[in-house]
Amino acid sequence: MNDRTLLDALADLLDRADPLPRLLTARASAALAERTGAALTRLITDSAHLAPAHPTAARTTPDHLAGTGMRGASQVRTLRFTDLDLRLEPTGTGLDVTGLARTGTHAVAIWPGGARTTPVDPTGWFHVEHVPAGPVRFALRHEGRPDVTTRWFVG
Amino acid sequence: MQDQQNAELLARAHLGDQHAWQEIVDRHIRLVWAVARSHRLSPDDAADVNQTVWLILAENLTTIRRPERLSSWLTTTTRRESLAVLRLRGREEPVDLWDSADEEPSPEDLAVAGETDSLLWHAYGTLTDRCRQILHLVAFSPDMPFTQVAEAVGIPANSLGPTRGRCLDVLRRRLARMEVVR
Repeated sequence: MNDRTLLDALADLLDRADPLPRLLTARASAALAERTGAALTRLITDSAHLAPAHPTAARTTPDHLAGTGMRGASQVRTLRFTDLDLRLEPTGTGLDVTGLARTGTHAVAIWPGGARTTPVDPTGWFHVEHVPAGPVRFALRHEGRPDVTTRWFVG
Repeated sequence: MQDQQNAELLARAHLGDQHAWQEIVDRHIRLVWAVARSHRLSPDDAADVNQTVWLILAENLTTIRRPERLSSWLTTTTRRESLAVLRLRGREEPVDLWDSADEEPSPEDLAVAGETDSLLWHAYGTLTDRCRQILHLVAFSPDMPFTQVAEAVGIPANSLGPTRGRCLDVLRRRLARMEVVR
């Protein structure tokens, strides 16, 4: 069996053993409509890209959570953007988010098909609970000015 | 032609052409899924990464400077998001190249029918994560240049060819050994 024949057999096998869920194509198709055209705030640091996992923190997704929409055990994630800091705390079914905004009067947690707006207090802090697990982004809103948003990431 | 088509599709999608966007999705979604799954993400996490990658692309339709490398851009973005999720879950990407994976093939076994398929599946399951990533990518994107595959899996471009060859040799040897003992 030459390389190409072997790889073709493997591709065919992977396609059958691990097929693309149909729902994903629909979600990908819907992504175009989620564009906002808002200015992006620049990502400076992200603990998920920098911090190595602690060796004793190794966990896997429990079998009883598979397919339920609940994600495996996770860690607190902190992100710093030019215009805001975020601390994302997993709750098992989603996220509780604490943020420090350097502009804007309201913060908006945005996920595909939904959003939740919360006021930013005079010192810049805001808090959003029950943000669904999955793709998420945050926008800062200030009346009379264009929104500023983070890029999308897996919350 | 493919390059022009990518550039044209991206431009049309930017203008809101859903058909153009759908064409981009249809061409590449199996690759994005394959890259996410090759990092051994759970199905839910791989689905989140997949969706996030498309959301990121939708926001960057005018910033793809080399449309002919859209596959590479998607692969790199998927890899970056996959690694972030792995770290959040307290798992690091395995870096060993030649030690056997310590897990048996996953429950997808049930979907593999036939003895030959089953042997190939089990032989593939004994490969290292890195080998599985490389073979997964080159199996689904045979036209992707070595430099882009190397970039996607995070190894030097000049070692991709030999590594790919060794991974295939190991797979072929293990498959042969299983055929002998069956």
